[in-house]
Amino acid sequence: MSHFDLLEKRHHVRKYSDKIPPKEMIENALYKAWKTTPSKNNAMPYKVFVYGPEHKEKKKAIHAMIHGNHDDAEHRAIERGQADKTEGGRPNPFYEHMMYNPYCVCIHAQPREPNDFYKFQVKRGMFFDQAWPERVENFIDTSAIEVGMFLQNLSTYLLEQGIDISYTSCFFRDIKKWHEAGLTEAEYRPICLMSIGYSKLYRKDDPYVKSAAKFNRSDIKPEYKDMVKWV
Amino acid sequence: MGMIFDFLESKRHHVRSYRKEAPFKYKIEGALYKAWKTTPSKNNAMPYKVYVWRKQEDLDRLFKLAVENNINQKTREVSYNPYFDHIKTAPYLLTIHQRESKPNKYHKRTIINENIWYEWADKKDFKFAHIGTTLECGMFLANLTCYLLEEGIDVSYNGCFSHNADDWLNIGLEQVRTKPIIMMSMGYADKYRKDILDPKYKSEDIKPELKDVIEWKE
Repeated sequence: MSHFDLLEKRHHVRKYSDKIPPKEMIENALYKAWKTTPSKNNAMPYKVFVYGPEHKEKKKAIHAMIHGNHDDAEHRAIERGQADKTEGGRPNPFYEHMMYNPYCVCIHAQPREPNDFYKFQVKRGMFFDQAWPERVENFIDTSAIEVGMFLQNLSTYLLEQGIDISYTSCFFRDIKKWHEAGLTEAEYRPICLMSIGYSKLYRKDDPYVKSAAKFNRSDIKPEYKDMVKWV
Repeated sequence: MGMIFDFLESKRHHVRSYRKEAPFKYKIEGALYKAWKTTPSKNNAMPYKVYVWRKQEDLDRLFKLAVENNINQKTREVSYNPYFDHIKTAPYLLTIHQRESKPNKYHKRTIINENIWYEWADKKDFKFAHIGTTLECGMFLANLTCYLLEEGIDVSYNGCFSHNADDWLNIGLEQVRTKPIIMMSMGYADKYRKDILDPKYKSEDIKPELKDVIEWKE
């Protein structure tokens, strides 16, 4: 199967099955993603935390970071005059995949010391911004774009093995909130979350999404011509 | 199984400079289409825009943006870095920028029914959408890279330049109105960085260890 055909088969997961992919398969895909994802100055200024099937309580806490942020966003929308009411705290069912999954991946920013090659460059006057914990917000762009590349490569290696994945980037960004919720593993702000397992129900097959499509309200991408411009 | 890994491992290398011979445009267009088609996006917004630059005068301007951002910390002067040469020698250079993206019909309904705030719909909220947008650009580039390598076309990235759109406008890149995120060059490599780098440095310029990047919680 070509790379394109493989990725065309990817769908957002609404619910995972109880069947758990072997840990070795996940480890193998993580290794390949680490090996093949490029990084500016070979710094990889992020850290990947993987929670296995036994971490049900941690996943509940992670889900609370997502739901809490969603709730906050609704209140912020009211403050800005962009909405007039909230959902009253009703959890969004499309975030459930982050609570009930065999494996949950959380990627956070992480300052890194330069390797020996770049230590030498720093001595000559190079600025190695990824080394400074107080500059996490300055190099977060670099971290985020590289995390995107890492996640996409990881997704490809998992899909190759028939394993489904889904992402979310809706969650509290403030690491203090994570620490308060008992999620103390990471020191720095989260960048993206991903769930891994075998799908039981894809989002596209969810009755709500299907009924929207029936009424000509399909959830489609912007047109290609709106995104790519030849100069 | 594992073919994509072997392929990426053997084919992708940072380019020092490109050959003058340009890949056919239809090959670049085909890869861009496939990347657009297969890259996921939160709320299907794809809040970024891809510009593909070809004119040498534009490539020189983009090269200037990179070089002038590289300041030596000891001398406080602009420091020429030969590893930016891929920018000005590339037959194709793409840059990615933030983009306003209005919600599709499905999400318009969700906004009305569920009061969801859609942070990339308006430029004034771009700062809230920026990290998520940047992450998605990374996914787009990873896919685009694979599709181009399949065609035998090399790529390299650059994230060192002024990220202020006004600086781009001021040097004559008039199309640019929103925050630049990343540059990527495409073409047939003349020289790879790995072939130029002094062998004594090869063992020093390495990634952090796997165990330092990935941590299993058990």
